[in-house]
Amino acid sequence: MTIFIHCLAAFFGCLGFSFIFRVFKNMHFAFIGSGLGALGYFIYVCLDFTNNVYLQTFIGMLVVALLSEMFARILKAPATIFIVIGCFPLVPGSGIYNTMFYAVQGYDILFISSLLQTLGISMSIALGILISSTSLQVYKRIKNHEFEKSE
Amino acid sequence: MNEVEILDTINEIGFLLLKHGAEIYRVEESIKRMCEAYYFKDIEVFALPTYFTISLKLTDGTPYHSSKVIHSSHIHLDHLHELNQLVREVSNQQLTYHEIKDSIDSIKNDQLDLPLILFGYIFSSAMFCVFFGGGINEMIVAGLIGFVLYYVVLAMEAVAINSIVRTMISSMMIATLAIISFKFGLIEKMDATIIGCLMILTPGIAITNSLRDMIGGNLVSGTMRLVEAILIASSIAIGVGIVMVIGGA
Repeated sequence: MTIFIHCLAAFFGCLGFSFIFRVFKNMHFAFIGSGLGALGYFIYVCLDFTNNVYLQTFIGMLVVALLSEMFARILKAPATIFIVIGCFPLVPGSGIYNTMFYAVQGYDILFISSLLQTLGISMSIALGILISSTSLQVYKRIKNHEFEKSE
Repeated sequence: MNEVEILDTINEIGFLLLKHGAEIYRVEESIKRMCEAYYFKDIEVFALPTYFTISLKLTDGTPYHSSKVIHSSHIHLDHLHELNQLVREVSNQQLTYHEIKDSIDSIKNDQLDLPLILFGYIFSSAMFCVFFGGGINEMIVAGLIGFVLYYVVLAMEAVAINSIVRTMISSMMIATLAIISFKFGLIEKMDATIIGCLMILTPGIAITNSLRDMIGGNLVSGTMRLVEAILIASSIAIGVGIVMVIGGA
């Protein structure tokens, strides 16, 4: 039940973000992006058994980014629209807060560990976007038979 | 049809693309494809997040060069989509000069839907507060903080404060309001409220765009945006930290 509420909150939160990023006319983009955000978080929760935050974030972001690229091809829109909206539930906002909280309270060990965790999560997000975009680029090249000559 | 007039519109499209938060490779590729559609030769386009330059030869061999500087940029996903469509149509030579001009003007004169943005601020901060474990009280307080945050950001954008100081002041304001309502006993989970509102400030776009720039081969622009992301994240942390030290949370 908690998971359901969280996913719903993630969906509507992303919907709010799409208005902040000025989606006024193309509402279907906003709904798709928010749906992807909620899906990303759902995958993140489902992979809880791995006990590895980085792996959870990475796979969640990978799915979001791959689906964004797919929707971008289908709807002939830039993939950024969906990725920007869909990445938000995975962005380590709580990591930034906790890092600061521990620093202020003077818990040095907790501070360093949450700082490293925040950086690690950011890198997992980056890696997810990196891999999905690159693989789509390569797929497009192979499909169009655009091979570069080796120099 | 005058070639220089066409080039002016292409410049304008490139300017709007960069201004509304497109990736660098998209800007470079779009301009290049549009120029190729009109049979210009020796086209070279180079873009940075705040600047781009075009140099080419007109069909009669006259050299042409132009550059544009973008002073302020703000993400606008609707316009990004419209510009993307416009670029595709121009590259396929489906439009006359006046049609291109009209579409650019309609994008430029488009008014922002401010009430919807305000709604977005309230809604997303309230919902992300729930997402991070807040209850009903926390949700309402976070929505109110989002409401105030919208006007604070609007005021700071009007006087053109740079984005780092803007983020710092916004996060300080969020933390102050959350701590005050915590001290008055309105909310129990201060962290959920603060994090929910902070999500609006987190540099999600900067990270996404910087990564996609780097994949496109634009390491310089990617690094510029990555540094921006890191600076924004640390200014959030500093802003909240200052208030926490003063407020004794």
